[in-house]
Formats: sequence, structure tokens, C-alpha cells
Amino acid sequence: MTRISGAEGAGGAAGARPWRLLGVLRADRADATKDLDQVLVTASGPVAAALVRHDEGSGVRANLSEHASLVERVHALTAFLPARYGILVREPGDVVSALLDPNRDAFEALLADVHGRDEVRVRVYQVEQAALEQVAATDSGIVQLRAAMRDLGEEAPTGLRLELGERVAGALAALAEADAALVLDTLRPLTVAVRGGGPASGSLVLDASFLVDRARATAFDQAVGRLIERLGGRAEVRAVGPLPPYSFAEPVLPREEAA
Amino acid sequence: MTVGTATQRAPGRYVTSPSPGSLAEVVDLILDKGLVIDVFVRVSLVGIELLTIDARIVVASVDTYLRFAEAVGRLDLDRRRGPGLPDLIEQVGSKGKGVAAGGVARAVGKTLKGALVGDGDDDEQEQDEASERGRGHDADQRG
Repeated sequence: MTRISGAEGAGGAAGARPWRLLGVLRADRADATKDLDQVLVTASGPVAAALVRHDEGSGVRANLSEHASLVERVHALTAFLPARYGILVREPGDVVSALLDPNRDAFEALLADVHGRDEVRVRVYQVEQAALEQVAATDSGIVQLRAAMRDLGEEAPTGLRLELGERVAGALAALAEADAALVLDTLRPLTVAVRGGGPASGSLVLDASFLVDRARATAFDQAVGRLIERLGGRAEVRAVGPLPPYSFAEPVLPREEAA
Repeated sequence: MTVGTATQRAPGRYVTSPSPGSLAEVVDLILDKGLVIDVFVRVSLVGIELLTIDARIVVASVDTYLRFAEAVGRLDLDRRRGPGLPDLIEQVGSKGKGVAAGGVARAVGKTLKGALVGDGDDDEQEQDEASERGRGHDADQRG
């Protein structure tokens, strides 16, 4: 069954232009997208795929923006599993045979998992200056090496300076790891699932996506506020959401039957 | 520069909402996450693959250690805002650009920027955002 939501149909003038997959939704919610003129919904049993014409001539940025925008809009209307950008099919029917038919059960389960939930992405960056001040004041080894360096002044050998620098780098890395763990451990209990983690690299010490029930969005937000306060100036917490559940669209949620 | 152009934080809220239509916060999600069907051909576009590069950086260089030693050596913890600190901030701000971590991250940011340039004339905020990812320690990002 194919239902064409908008004015632009599956055939006709659009000719050879392929269709780009936007994501998967429940077939009985297909009507929720009826106001999105350019979106076509094709169903197979209980699940359906949302597609849009892909116009390469529009350019990369415009197509990416369109993809992000349409995924956001469908997600706002109903439970939705967003597709990664760039999955093209020649005919809407291809998506039924290659995607929907073989994965009906998995998609139904996943759609139930993301129903009423949003992705919130949290990134934590170490603020080097503040973190340096903290480790220099609290790490006994660094305190001693600094004292030795101060006594020797310009005479301090390179070996000693390297030892101090290595110690500082290690202390900063340990602090980053501890801060990442603090953020994960604080937020995880308020969420349904977590993807990603840390520590990452450079000043980015954590990049994680949380699946948050809308009923707990305020509690999650307040927890982020408390983390910002607790981390002081040594780490910057950047939380963005609600987002469509990009990180939760693959069947990896912990499921009882999988145990 | 604040993130206000690409995200909106309501008063009293800590989780910021992405601005509608802004790619800054979601571009890597769109390209790296979400449903994938291997049998279908991904759009092959010059520049896009660069966006998925794992920008892992080796920080353990002698230069970095020496810079940390110098920076921490000049910290004046006894006089919290003593005359040494502004010097240090200035030094970290300028010299830091040569450090492996910040340098490479910025370079990647520029590459991301390049990949999106040319398709629209309102790219400015996304470009800034992409660059800023590499220097998350800028406290003034949170407008």
C-alpha cells in the first residue's frame, strides 16, 4: 500500500529522480504527515516508510537541511525512526521489499521504544585554564614538581619540565574521565537508554546521546543544571534537545527478550 | 559569539533547543546515526565523507608536555588574580593554537566548514559552530 501525502506523486514529471528515505513510522500514523506536501508514505503491514524526492541539483547543504527539517517535523507528529542521510531508492516499492518487509517486528518494537521520547545530546568540554588551576593546586606530585622547578628557576633541566608536563597531562586526562563519568552516572538514571560516551579526544571529554521520556524532560534539564554548577568552571556542559532519536534508530536498545 | 544563533536556551533551562533548520547541532547525527540500509547506495558527494572522519588526536607529544609544564609553572595559585594570570591566559590563548589537539580539531572544523560551503549563503552560523566544536573550552559559547 502506498499513500502519497502531498501533491507530488510517485510518478509523473519528477521522472528519474530517486527517493530519499527519511525514516520509519507506524502505518496507522501515516495520516499525521498529511500536511507535509513533499513527503510520501509507503506502508507494509504495521510499519511505513517516509520518503522525499531527492534532487541532487539542490546542493548538499540544501538537501541536508531539508532532511533535518522534515525528520524534525515528522518526529514532532509521531514516533519516528530517522534514517541516516543519503539512502536513495529508485521506487518507493523498493523500500518495502528491502527495508519494511524483513524488519517489521524490529521496527514495531523500536517505534514503541522511542514513542513519547526524545534524544538529548550532551557534550562536555574541559576548560583547560580552570582544569590546570585545579590540578596544580590539588595534585601532590605536581605541587612538588612545581616547587622544585621554582627553586631551580631557569636552571631547571628539560627532563624535569617534561616530567611535570607529563604529570599535568595525566592529571587533566584523569579529571576529564572523572567528569565524564560523573555526567553519565548522574543523567543515565533519568533516561531510557544512552549511546556514545567518553572520554573522547582533545577538549571534548564526553559526547553522549540520551533517550529521554518527555515526562522526565524537566527532571533531566534540572539535573543538567546541577551538573553545570557542580563542575564549576573546569568543564562546559552543552546539552541540545529535544532531537529526533537518530542515535536510537537501530535495534540495540536493551530488550528483555534479548537477555 | 554565542550559540544563540544555532540553539535557543529558554530562561531557566539548561538543555538548549536546536533552531529549526539549523544544521549545526545535527549534521553529524544525520550523517553518522539513524537507520542504514547497506544494500542501498549512499549518496556519493565530494566532501561529505570528510564529515564522518573520526578526529581522534594524539596528544602525547613532547611539545604538549613542555607547554603544560610552562603553563602550570607560571600559575600563581597564591595570588588568585595576580599579575601572572593574564600573561598565562594570553599565552595559552595564543600558543595553544599550535598544540596538536586544538590545532587538528580546528583543522577538522575548517574541513567541515569547507564541505558545506558553496551551497548556500547563510552558512555562517553553521561554519562558526563547526569550528567551535574544536575549541569547546571557550567559555563564552554559552551566551
